[in-house]
Amino acid sequence: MAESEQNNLNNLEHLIGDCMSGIRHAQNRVYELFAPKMLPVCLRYAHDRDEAEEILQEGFIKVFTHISQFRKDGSFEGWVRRIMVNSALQRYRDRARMFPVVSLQEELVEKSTSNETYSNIAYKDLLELVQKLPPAYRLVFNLYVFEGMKHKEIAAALSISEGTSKSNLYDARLILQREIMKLEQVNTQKLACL
Amino acid sequence: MSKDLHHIDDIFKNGLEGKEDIPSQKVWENIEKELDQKKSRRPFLLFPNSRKIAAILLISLGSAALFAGGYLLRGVQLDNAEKSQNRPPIEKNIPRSSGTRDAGTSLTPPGSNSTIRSDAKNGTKQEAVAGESNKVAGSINVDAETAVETEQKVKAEKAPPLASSSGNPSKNYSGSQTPSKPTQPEKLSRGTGTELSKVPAPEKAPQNVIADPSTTAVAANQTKKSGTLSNDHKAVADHETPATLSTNSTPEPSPTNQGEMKKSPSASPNAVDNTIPGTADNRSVNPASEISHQITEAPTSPNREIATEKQLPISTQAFSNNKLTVATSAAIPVLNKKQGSVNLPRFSLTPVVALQFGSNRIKENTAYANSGKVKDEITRTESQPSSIAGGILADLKISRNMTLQSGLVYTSRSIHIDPKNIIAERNPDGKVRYRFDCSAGTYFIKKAQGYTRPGDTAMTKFSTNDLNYLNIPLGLTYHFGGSEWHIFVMAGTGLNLLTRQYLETGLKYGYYEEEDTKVTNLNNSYFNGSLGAGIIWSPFKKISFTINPQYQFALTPMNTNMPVKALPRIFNIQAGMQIRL
Repeated sequence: MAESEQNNLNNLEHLIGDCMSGIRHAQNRVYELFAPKMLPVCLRYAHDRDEAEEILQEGFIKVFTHISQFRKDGSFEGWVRRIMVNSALQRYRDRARMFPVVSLQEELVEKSTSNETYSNIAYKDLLELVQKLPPAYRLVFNLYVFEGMKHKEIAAALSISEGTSKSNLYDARLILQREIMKLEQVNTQKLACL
Repeated sequence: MSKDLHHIDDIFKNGLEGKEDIPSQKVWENIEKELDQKKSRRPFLLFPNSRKIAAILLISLGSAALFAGGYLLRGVQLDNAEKSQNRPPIEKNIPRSSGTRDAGTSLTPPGSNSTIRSDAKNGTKQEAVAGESNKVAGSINVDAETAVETEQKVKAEKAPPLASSSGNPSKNYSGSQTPSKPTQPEKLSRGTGTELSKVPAPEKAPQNVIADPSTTAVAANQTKKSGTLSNDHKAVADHETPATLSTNSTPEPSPTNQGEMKKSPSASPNAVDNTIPGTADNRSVNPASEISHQITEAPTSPNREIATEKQLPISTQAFSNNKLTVATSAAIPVLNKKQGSVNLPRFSLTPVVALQFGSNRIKENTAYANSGKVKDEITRTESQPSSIAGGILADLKISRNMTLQSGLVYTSRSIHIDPKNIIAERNPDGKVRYRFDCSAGTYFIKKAQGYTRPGDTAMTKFSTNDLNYLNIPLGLTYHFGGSEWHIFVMAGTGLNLLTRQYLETGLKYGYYEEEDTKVTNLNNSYFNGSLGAGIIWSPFKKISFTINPQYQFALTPMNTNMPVKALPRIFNIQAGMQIRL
């Protein structure tokens, strides 16, 4: 087991070395290894699949262009993932003026939910819920929940205040809660029909 | 409230994390297309070391071009020198002070003995004082042997052929004697003591016609010393000898030199023929012999063309060879003036030893969040003592005052690192080791005993990091000053190749294992620039001594992929012994 992991590490080092030399076959191999893992990351930050693939494409170009800057003592997957997130953030900054101002018409009311309620919600449905979030909420939610960043770090990354970050996260959670409850109702009706 | 919302975080994290999804094929196609475009825009991207290789190639090509240029330049100089040698020697060192001088101002008094030389341009004859005469004027006693020897010497020196009387040994020429070669302006003869005619000789004739300030001193000294000189030396004292040689072209035959040879009223009966160029022996005439120059055209002209400075070197040589030191001493300032410029060898080798004082300029690598902290730690804990370097430098002369310098210099630097805390983490091989960051790079140290877990800390002892480099400099030096002492300034670049690195350290609870002390993030080479000045003392012809303070500064960092960039800077005092080849 440990031996196979060591072999994989050695193979990855060779691949990275070949990528540094610009060998296309090695680049394709690295892409095949990490693209399936990185696409869900990009999907969470994007509005739809097309945008996610654009982020993925930009991210991998940065990976291959700056692969010589990779510190070999760290995780390559973590480094690639960070590049993907940064690509998504850069995209948000570039298009920040194009996003509409978020205005929640409906009154968001907290409702009691339980863990079992959402256990049956599929990956695709959860991803759609996240993608439906307004861009600013989506980013803060992703950075806080999936990247483990603090509000201070998020505020610095998005050039917003910490209060805004906290507010956006709260609103994102409320939206997601409401959408989940809707999904629950739909699922209940389907079960009743059956 | 918050509890439920935080629960939502967990739901999404668990539901979305760790999933995989296959992107469409067009994504890779677009990536490939974009990479191709970047590759065409940035050809260096394919080869991480291509910039270094290109820099080395550039330096090599530049060196080759400079060397080739130096050789070509040398070839041109040799050609010029060869051409110069084919000219009459007298045409070297030509001053511009030719002219005429009134007879009244001439040092030649009326009635002094003179030799006459032809002027190739106007056919006029110029008189010069031949020397002290005794009794006979206009008599020619030809010694066949002497004449033949003289002629050979004359031919050897590529001087205008002089009249030879070898075909008629011991032939006496009377006043109407026709020379065997009438086209020759002058005739060499050496008397055997037979008098053909006698004319009253001045009691003490001045020796020379001095033409210009440089030769005036010679003449003055000579005149002053004439009383102590032997008769034969007195007879040689003629500065007009080179002037005679200057008649490189054959003059137009004139009645003077075609027809009979007339006695000059002012000619000394014992006038020594000084028409033999260059050879001092020709001037060392036998005291018993009476030599007269029979070519006469006119009595001493009121306007005599003064001898030119270009005649000085040969005149000086002639005097020197005849041990007329008074004459050479007068010429020394002129020669010294010419030798006062820098005399660089075409090629030289200089074994050097250098005392080096080094330090590292630490720059933050902004790509890393902890760069400031690492910079502070390295700056606080590291210091460099002085070190010694040695090598050999080669200088190639590429112009009158400039040389191209290259060579090999081996440097050994030690960096002292104060004790500090280090933390264990996984190294690139996946093993848990103590991470030791320093300006040279990162070392992963294994504790000799016990088990190490990630996050463990240890205190190092006093550490020493040895870095040995082979420096290949390439610089231009500009020299100015005198021939014995001169100074130079230099500027250049250099490639430093890492030959050895080693970290000597120890942990508080056990020494490291040597096999794990391979450094990472240390470049195998870096480039440096250098500025310096120095002084060269040349007490010997082939050996010089040089001292050269020099400042070297790194152009590229010696490490990579670290929170800080280390740029070595070295002040060294270099001493060497230059061997001129």
